[in-house]
Amino acid sequence: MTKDKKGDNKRVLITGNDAVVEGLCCAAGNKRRIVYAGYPITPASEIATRASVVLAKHGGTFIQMEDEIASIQAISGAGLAGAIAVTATSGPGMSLMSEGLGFAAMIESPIICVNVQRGAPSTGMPTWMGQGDMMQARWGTHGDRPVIVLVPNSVEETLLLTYEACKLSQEYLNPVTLMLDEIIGHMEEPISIPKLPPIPVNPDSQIIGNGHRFHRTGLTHDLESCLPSINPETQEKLVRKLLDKVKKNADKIIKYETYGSLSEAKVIIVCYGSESRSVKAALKQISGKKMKVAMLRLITAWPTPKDLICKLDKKDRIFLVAEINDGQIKIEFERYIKKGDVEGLNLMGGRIHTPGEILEAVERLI
Amino acid sequence: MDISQHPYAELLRKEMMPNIWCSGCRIGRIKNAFIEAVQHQGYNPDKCAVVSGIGCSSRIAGYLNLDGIHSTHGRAIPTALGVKLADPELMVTVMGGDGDILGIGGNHFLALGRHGKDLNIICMNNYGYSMTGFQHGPTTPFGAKTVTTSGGNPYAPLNPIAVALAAGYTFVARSTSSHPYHLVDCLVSAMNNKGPSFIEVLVPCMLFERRNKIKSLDALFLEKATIKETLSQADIHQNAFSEEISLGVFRDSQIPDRPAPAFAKAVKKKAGKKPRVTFKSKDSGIDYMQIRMEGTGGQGIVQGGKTMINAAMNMDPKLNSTLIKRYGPEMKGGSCLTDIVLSSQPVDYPFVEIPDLLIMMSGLITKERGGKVIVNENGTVVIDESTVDLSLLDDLADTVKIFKVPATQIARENFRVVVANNVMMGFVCKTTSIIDKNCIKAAIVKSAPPGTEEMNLAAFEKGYEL
Repeated sequence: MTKDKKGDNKRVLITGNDAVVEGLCCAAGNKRRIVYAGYPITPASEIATRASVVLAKHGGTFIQMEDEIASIQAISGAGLAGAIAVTATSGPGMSLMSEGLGFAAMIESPIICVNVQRGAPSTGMPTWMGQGDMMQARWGTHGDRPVIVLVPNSVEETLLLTYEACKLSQEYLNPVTLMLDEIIGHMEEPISIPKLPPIPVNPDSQIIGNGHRFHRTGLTHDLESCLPSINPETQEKLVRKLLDKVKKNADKIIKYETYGSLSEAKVIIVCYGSESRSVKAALKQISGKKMKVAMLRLITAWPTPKDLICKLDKKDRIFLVAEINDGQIKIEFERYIKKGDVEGLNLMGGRIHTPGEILEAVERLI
Repeated sequence: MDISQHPYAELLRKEMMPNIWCSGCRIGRIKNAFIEAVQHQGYNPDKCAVVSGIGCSSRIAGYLNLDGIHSTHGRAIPTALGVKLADPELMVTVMGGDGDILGIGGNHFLALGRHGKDLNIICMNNYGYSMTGFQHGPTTPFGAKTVTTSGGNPYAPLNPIAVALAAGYTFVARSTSSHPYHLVDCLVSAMNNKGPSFIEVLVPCMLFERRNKIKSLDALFLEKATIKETLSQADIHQNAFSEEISLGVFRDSQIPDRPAPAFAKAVKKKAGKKPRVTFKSKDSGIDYMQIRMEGTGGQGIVQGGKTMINAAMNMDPKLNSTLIKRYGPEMKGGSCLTDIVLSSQPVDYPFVEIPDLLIMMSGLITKERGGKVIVNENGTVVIDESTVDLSLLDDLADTVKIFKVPATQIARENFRVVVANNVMMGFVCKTTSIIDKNCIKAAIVKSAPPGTEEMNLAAFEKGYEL
């Protein structure tokens, strides 16, 4: 942490990728061990670069694994052994990690997985942004699993949400995915690094080496003993219990930002990540014109703020979902909006809409 | 007799018994040998962890009353590595089969040798995928019949010992489930070795026996295998039951010393002290300004942008700013630009739409855009006349201020081409006076690679004096 003579937090110029590592250091303090296991991939490589230098100072461990599958498995193990366990990757790596994410959810390992999204599918555009992994983040494993996904839109928020991800993963003993995109990952902004309390280990969790002598398995297992027990009854109990962790606490987990008056708006622009910066810039440009437009920015992409969406649903109200994919989060709004309309504003990746393009779309609707 | 009086009871999960293994399977013996070894070593069971993958042998983790993870197929080694990294005090053992460790997890098996962490890998080789009905695997002998090679296996088997030796494991041994005392010896030695240890344990599978009309592999192992004190290159070889099998320790060596993680940082410190530049901060009066620096990769476009934004922060610490760089996949020679937005309010849209200040170090981007230079009507263009075709500026409005400087030429003649961006920066500072001179100099010192600060500052001064 850089401080000037007065002891105030001095602002430092860092990228979103750097901010992930700073967020981890905040969460660890000097109390917790961080284990970072990753595999190089554009545009997330800088996270590993910084982690390899910074974590050693914080008593953490950085290891470059042989592939993404190994990375996620290593942190699943490290999470069970009491570390702040984290990996960072981009879309192709995320696809390889799918099985591991499901495994981590099943064994209730508190891990953090950062996905710096690129233009996709496949190798796509490694150095250009995209938001096409939103549905993968929700459904990209076999079976049902509880999912928490956070989407920052600035360097500072990346730091804070990394910290938040550590907290949520401990609280719910579940993987938390942090979805950056290439713009947020590579953009530099001056931020002051806050002093935050270290995140303690969940007292209810069993840590390897602490004498619990517990067994964790990816097989369907008994809730009490965690030993394999393969029958429909335990499956029902187990999966419901896992899902309920997030379902029943959705209100506590969900965060969003609004700009303008949602209750008066005729058009609500729904957005997240770097795209939301464009939306906000556009709304600021028309703030004097009394157009009934407001912004709803999802900070928690999953679980979906279902109650909020249903509350906002109104006849003649249009939800314009602006995102850099073919309408992945739009699908989620279409599920819940019964009275109003849902429209999409989409690009396939590489860039975000300009504020001008957003305004054009709004004007078309009003 | 009550099961709790059994000598292994302390390390077994009674509630998991009976086990799932077929009668005639000898994996249970390996489990018992492991318990013997742990007890022999006098380890605190609370500090022993077992990680396994998927398969018959991987079920051992569930029967041991230790901290255990029964992970996904093939991924036991990385999972165990994560546990070890999080808590280096633990004795971590990986239990797996040949398919798990050498087949699907082969890459992890190779990488552990390189990583050199103290894990014990026990690979139970039963020559195929037993849990799924005996398909052929990486170690299935040539010609052997399995469910998926009913006419005989056409693939050559992999030799786990040879691979482990090549991969850099510091302890490598072969044993069988039919030689329990030898196996315990091997396990104890593996636990004592401080590097990655690998033991191949041959184990009979009745599915394999049945399909290949072998009466008893257990008896065959006893007949064909010899325990040897010293092993030679020839003993590594083993891929048919008709041949002799050599058991023993192929390697038991020290793990070489490795540099500490902070090594990279220590070298940097030697580079010497950075020159000090003092500057005064003030209110810049900038409300909203878009700056774009464009050129080709290798010209220091990103570095120049960083200097600019750091300088702006030096001048007015309250100023909000963003910096975005754009470049293609190639590091050198491709088009490259840096967008900087300075604002008194938080910056929303981080890209430059119409720059107020455009610094052109090459015409590549403009040409890619169809020859149009985008700049604010009342803005400023600073152009490197030694690298940019000046005719590009012909269409600009008369209100645009244009400054020309042969920055690359000056840098080449006086310093090195790489500092052309700072010659440019000096010239920009003089002509536009947006940012105070010392603020830029301090920013240059901050971002210049160690040892090159003086040259970069001199380049800046050269540009400033023009």
